[in-house]
Amino acid sequence: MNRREAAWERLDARTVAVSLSWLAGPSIPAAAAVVTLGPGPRTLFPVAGLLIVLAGIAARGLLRHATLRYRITGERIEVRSGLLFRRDRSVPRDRVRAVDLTAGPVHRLLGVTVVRIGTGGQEADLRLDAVSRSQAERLRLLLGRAGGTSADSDLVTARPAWIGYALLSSWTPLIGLAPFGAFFRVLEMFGIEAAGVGFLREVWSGVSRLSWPVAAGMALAIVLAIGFTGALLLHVEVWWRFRLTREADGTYRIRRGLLGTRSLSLQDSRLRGVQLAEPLPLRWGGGARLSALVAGVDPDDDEERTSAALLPPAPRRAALRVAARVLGAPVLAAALRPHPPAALRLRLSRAVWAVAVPAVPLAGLGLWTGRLPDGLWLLAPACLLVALLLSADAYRSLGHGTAGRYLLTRHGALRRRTTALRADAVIGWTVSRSPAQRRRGLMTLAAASSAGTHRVKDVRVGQGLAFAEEVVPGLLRPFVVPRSPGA
Amino acid sequence: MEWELRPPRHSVDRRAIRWWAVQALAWVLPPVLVLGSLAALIAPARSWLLGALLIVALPGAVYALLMPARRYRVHRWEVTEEAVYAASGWLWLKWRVAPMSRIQTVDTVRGPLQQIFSLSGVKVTTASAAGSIKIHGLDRHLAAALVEQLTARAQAVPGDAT
Repeated sequence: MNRREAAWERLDARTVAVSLSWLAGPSIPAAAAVVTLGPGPRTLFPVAGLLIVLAGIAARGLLRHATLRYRITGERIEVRSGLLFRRDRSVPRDRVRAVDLTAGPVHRLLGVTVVRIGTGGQEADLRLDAVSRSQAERLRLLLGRAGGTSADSDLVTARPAWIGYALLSSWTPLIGLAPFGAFFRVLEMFGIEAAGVGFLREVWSGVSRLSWPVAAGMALAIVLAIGFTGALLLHVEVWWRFRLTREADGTYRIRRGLLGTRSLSLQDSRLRGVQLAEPLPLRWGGGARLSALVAGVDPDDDEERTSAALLPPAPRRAALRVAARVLGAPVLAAALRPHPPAALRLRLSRAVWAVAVPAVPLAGLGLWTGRLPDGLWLLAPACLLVALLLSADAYRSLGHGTAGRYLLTRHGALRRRTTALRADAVIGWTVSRSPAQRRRGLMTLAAASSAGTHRVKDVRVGQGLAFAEEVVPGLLRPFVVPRSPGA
Repeated sequence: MEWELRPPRHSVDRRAIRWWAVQALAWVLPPVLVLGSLAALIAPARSWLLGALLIVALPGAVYALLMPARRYRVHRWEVTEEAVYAASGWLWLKWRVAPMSRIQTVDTVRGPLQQIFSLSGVKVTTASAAGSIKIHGLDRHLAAALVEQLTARAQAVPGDAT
C-alpha cells in the first residue's frame, strides 16, 4: 500500500441502513399504541414527537455518511466532516493510544463496526461510525505500533463458572424494578390512569386481600426474580467470550460481547495502573472486578470503566493474578498501612449524625401527633446499627502504601476500591481538610493523574505528607514545615 | 517529628474581601427580599413566611459576615521554580500543588463581579480534570503578569504533561 498518498475513504454505505434502523425499532410499539388506543391527540402527539427525534438521529447519520472522509497517511490520521461547520482533524499516528471497535446488534447484522481512535489528550476521540468489519480490523492493526503482527499471548479467558458472580451484581434490585417503572412511564406518557387498566385493578384487589408480610414477600420475590434474570442476561451480553490478550508489540487487547461486541486495543504506554473494585455483595461472594487505569479515561465514569475492564466479575484471587501479570509484580497483594483510630471515630460520629438528623425531628413529630405505627420505632435503631457496621467496615478498608513504583490506596465499604497508580503518573497533590478532620488532626490526600483522581482518605497530617514525599520526592517538600507547637 | 503544610507565600488582593462579600450577598439577598416582600403582602401566611425568612436569613447573614474575611486569611498562592502551590476554602480547606512540568495551559478567568473590582483569577490546568489550580482574587495586572510568567516557565521545563 502506498502510505504517502493514501486516497480519501468514506464510511461504509451500510452506515445509512444503521441510521435508518433507529426509525424501525420504536416505530412498532408506537404504531401499536396508535392502533390499540385509536388515533387522537393523546396518542398522536407523543408518537409524532418520538418520530421527529428519531428522524433527526437518522438524518444525522445520513449526513455523516455523506460528508465524512478519512485517510491514513504515513504520519497522520486525517478526518474531515461536517456540512455547514466543516471540521478537519489531523492526529499524528504516534499519538494514537487506543483503538476501540464497537458493534451493536444492528451493526453486527449489517457487518459494520464503529472505530474510535483515542489519542489520550484532552481532545475528543476520532470516531468512524461505521466502517466494514474487515476495514476496522485493518485499521486496528495499522494503528498499532508494530503495524500488523498478531502473535498474541492470552492473559485471561473467562471461566464459565464465573457467571455466578452476575447474581451478586449491585444492579439487581434496580433491574428488578426497571420494568415496572417503564410500564408506568408508558401509561403516563399516553395519559392512562393506572386504576383504569382492567388487569391492574384485579391484581390490586387480589393483593389487598393478603396480609401485608405475605404481599411484601411476594413483591420482593418477584422483583428479585426479575432482577436476577436481568442481571444474568446483562452479564452474558456484556461479558460473553471475554478475552484479554497481549499482542507482540505490548498492546493489550480486550474482546467481549454477545449481541454487541467490543474490542479495545490499549497501548502499554497509556496504562497508569489498575483498580480492584469490590462492591459489597460481590465481596461477600469472594469476588472482585479489575479494571485498568488508562490515561484520559475517568475511572468514575461507569461506561468508560467497563470498557477498560481487565476481567469480568471474577474470584478475587484471579483478579489479583491478572493484576500481577499486567503490572509485572504482585503490587495489589502488598500490605497496606492502617489509618489512625481518629479515622474510625470520624466515621462512627458521621454515622450517628446521619441517622439522628432525620430521625430525631421525625420522632418528635410522631410523639407530638401521637400517630406513629408501632414497628416504626425500630427503624431508627436498625438504621443506626447498619450505619455503625458500615462505618467500622469502611475504617477496616482504609489503607495506603507503596509497592515498587506504584502508590496504593484503599477505601470504601459499599464499594471498596483498591487502587495501584504509577507514582510517575501523579501530576499534582491536593490536601483537603474538613472542619471535622481538622478537629481530629486528619487530612485527605488526593493524587491527581490523567487516569482520574485517587484519594488516600483520613490519614494523620504528618503521615499523609510523609507519604506524598515518599511517592513523589521533592514535590511537596518545599511547602512542608515542622509543626508549630501551638497548633 | 510531625509535619504540616505551611501557608503559601502571597496573599490575594485585599479587594477580594469585598468581592466575596458582594458575591455572598448576591446569593443571600434575593430569597430574603422575596420572602420579606411576600410576608409584607400576604397577611394570612405572615407567620409562616417570617419563619422561612428567619431560616434563610440567619445562616445567610453568618455566611456573608464570616466567609469573606476567613477566605482572605486562607486563600494564598505561591509559584516556585518547580511548582505552583495554592490554598483555598473557608470551612473545607484545600491545598493544591502542581509541578511546573505537568502544566498544560494557564488562563485568566474573570467573572463580571471580579471585573467590577478589577480582580482576575488564574487557572492552571494539568492533564487531570480534577487537578487544575485556580487562584482567584488577584489584581488584574498581577494576574496577567503571572499568566505570562507561568506560561513561559511551563514551556521551559521539559515533560509531556501527562
